[in-house]
Amino acid sequence: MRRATWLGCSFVILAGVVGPLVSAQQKGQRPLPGRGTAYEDQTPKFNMDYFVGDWTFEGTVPDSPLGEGGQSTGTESVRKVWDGRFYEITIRGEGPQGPFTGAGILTYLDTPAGQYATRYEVTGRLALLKAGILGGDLGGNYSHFWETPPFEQHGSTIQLKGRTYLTSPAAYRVNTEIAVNGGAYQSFGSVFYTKQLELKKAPASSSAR
Amino acid sequence: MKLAAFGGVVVLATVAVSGVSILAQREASATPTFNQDVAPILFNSCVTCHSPGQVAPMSLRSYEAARPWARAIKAKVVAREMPPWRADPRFGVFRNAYTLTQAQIDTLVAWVDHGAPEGSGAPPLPPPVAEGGWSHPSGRPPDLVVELPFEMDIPAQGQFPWFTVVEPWPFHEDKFIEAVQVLAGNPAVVHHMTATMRKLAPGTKIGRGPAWPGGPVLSNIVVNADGTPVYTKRNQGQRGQATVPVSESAANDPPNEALNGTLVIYVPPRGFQQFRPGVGKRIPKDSVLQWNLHYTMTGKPEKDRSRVGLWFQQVPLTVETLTRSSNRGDTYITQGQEVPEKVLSDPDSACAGPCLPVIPANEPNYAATGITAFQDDVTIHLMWPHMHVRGKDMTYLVTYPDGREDVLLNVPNYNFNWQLYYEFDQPVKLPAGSTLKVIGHFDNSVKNRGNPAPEKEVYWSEQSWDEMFTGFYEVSIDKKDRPMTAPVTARTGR
Repeated sequence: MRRATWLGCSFVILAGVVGPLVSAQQKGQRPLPGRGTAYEDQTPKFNMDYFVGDWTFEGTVPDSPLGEGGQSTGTESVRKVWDGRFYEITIRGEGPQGPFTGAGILTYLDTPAGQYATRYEVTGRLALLKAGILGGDLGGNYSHFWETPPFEQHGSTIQLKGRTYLTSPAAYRVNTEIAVNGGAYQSFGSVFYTKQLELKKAPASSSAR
Repeated sequence: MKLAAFGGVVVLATVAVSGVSILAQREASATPTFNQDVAPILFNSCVTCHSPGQVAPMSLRSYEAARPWARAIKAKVVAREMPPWRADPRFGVFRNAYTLTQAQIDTLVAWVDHGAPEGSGAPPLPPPVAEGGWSHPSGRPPDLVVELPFEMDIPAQGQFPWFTVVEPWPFHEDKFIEAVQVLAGNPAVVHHMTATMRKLAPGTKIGRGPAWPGGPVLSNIVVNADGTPVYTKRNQGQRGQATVPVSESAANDPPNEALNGTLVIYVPPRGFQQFRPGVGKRIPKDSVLQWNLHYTMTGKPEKDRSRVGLWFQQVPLTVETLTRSSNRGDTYITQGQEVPEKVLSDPDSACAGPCLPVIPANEPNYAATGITAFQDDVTIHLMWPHMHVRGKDMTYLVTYPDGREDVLLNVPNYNFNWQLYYEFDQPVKLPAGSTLKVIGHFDNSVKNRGNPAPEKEVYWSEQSWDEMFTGFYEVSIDKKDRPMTAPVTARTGR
């Protein structure tokens, strides 16, 4: 169950990072319609509204101090809150240890040095803070490179880092690595998210909680 | 892992003490173990990639490494996502097929379902693996390693033009290779990387200059005799010719001129190619190594310093292969209409390969066909479908002079991140007069999970958000088969 909680947290955090993409993509990467991209073109800012909506996720993680590995599936709902400056995340899933729920908050910061995103999520007794730089290319592929501070879990010191890779307006994946007790980072699996486009159109879709 | 091993001991002890039973004993003995049943499967079909330093993110070379991933292994093999083999099994027999049999899948599933026990005794020895990410199946390190002459800085965002750098080979006689590998220094940013044999164009030399107009000043750039840079169309500069093919015959083969001399192309997830005994490629002594570099942005500043490794032939060579594809100069059909020559060969385009009409926004099934005719008897050794993120499927269809047709390869679920090559178990001979049709489809809809901008029309270039339609293949021209120069075995290090 703690493990399930952990998984849920992980998913929440990861999803938070990715958010801004959709708007940027909708605005278009090609400044002049009718031509391809050029070296001189500027990459549009990421739009965190990318994440708003209902997503399904599926992924597999290995055994670790965070819990028993295995496949997890579930849903994640993201909506804008507090005059649109923040994004609230609600997670419902099922993993190797059974059902789990989680909640989180996603924030975005645009600075002269770059764009940053932070995802704070809580699942059961596990709270994770994932923060890092956000950027992309002219084609509309954006990534959030995040890292957690070290935290204690089941007697081990854990640190996570990863890349939330936004591959389409309706899909992204989160590749995570884990370091245990100061050891080298190792793969912690990937989680794939798919946006529920039909659900998004339905009036009642935002009330998953 | 200790837990699993402990669990296994408990099970065995329980059976023995209770004496219950032959049935229980049968069940216990039927439970697959890593050492006896699983390791041979993993070592045969998985550890080529799943070894330290190789392309896969985790190792499966030991029980300790594989046990945490047991459930993931089950999920992936049951879904037939791993090993990654994308060819339609109805067509072709391939030498490098890493598929699992149903019995092997059943064994892995049973192992996981019974707690993934390690088992008694020792596992078989895993196959050798070379240090540093080299992939020769013997574990033999390359005979020659050539490193990119500088560490490349890749910015966080934007677009990085395709560009080339060259460097001379550190040998002075023709070399024949039996294997070659481009080892990406930073796979996250290497969209693709080609190692090619070329000759410097007349009036040029290796110097220092901007990699492209306005780009960073680098060493190992082809410049004119007076030191001014030579830009090419694909570098988005004025026209120029930096390098030329290594042989005159290639110069007479304009559709494939750009491919002539290709040693190996790195694309995710592979950059290693090994030829069967007696087959290989020649590196002319007076050629240079040309790196064709295409980096992609990840969102944060990155660095790369990639390497090329060469394994020289150790047996006599009789067949020299060339990398080819349907290309400009061939016939193309898109959406049922033949593509006019002026579109295919648009001199102002940045197309890599044929220039085709744009793919409309939200088009879920854009069809393209390239048709190549062979004027000589040829032998096809392997095929490599190449498209970008809208790529959906690709089929190689041969029509013989008598009208018979054969599907050489069908990849029904193409994936940009899993660009595999498909090497025939027995090379396929095509008589003169045969035609090869490469048929592909593109999905520019939102249902394509790898499509970053379905609302945009898609152009043709080397940028991964634009498209390419290239059915690569390795071919030898039968009349040129002959004993080549003696093999080279001496090592040249760098």
